[in-house]
Amino acid sequence: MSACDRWRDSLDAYVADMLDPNERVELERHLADCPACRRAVEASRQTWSDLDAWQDAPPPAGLADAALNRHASRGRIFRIAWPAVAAAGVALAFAAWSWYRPADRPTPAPLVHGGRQVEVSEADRAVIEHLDLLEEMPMLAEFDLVRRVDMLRTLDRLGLVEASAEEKRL
Amino acid sequence: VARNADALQTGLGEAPGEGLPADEALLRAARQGDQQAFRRFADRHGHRIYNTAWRLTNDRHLAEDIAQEVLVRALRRDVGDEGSLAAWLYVVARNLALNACRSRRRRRVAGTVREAHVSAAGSDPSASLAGRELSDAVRSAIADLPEPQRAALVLVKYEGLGPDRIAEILGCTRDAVKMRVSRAMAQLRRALAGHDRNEEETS
Repeated sequence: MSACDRWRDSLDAYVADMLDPNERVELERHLADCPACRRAVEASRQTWSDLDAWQDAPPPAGLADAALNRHASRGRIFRIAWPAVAAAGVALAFAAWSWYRPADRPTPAPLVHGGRQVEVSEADRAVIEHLDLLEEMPMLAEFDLVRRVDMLRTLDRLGLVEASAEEKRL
Repeated sequence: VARNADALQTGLGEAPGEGLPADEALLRAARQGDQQAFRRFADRHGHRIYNTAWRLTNDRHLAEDIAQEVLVRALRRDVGDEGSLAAWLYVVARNLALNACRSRRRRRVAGTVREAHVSAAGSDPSASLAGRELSDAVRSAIADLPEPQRAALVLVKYEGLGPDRIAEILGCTRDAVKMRVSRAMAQLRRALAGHDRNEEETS
């Protein structure tokens, strides 16, 4: 491989100032001895400077106003969308709260009967855990009776029923 | 035309001088509904943004679309530090342009995009006929380059970026960038060979 072959692909990079400092020094040493590569570099420089001919173009008139319109149209979308987004957020939050709320309850201690853990449904567990209410049942029934008798007497006063007969039945 | 990275950082010498409102101040005013402030901001940066997008895409309509998008994003951008705003604008413009090029390539609309004979030099009536012809010839020759080569060449020649930065942007190696530029230059040399530059040089 001749020295020229080695540098052939680097001549344009040299003109474009893309070589490492070491490469650059080495190539310049070669160029000093090689008229053919110097000519190739000259051709590359000509092309490189030709590229400067591509001049800037002015941006289209009304660029700022077009951007403002684009900005405003997005703003409108956001203004319309925000209440919907807020409503959806509230709904989601409520759904999440409803979903997770049962998990917040303390896990009841497992029921053990006869040394074994007993599987019970939620409803059964509610009954079992409120057995003390059953003991109050007679008293609650008494309260209910008093309330009904009271109501009958009221109706009797209004002449709607014969309270004494009904009271006997109760 | 070649720009260096320093110019990119300082906004190409368009940094506001004494008495001129800073970019962020214009944007703040624009966010509060001052359209005139936004127009001044666009006047300051629109030219560079548009030309960055135009050179990378070689498509004026796409470049206009990208320039609008960059300006809108600036308006919606969180207030950042003043020094990086100009650089940020051109990075966004470049990324949008490169993405547009990639999706265009995927759609296989055209590996080479040539605008109908719209004179690029129309902006400069003082340019000689030969100068305008060379400008159009260059633009057309660059449009004919394969997309990866064109991106590498435009970034090094017109955006003034170094090979390492370009490799990072294009997702390839530094050697691949050099190879792409080298191939692009070989094709451009053939395309521009014999173009009469004498008149242009005297103008």
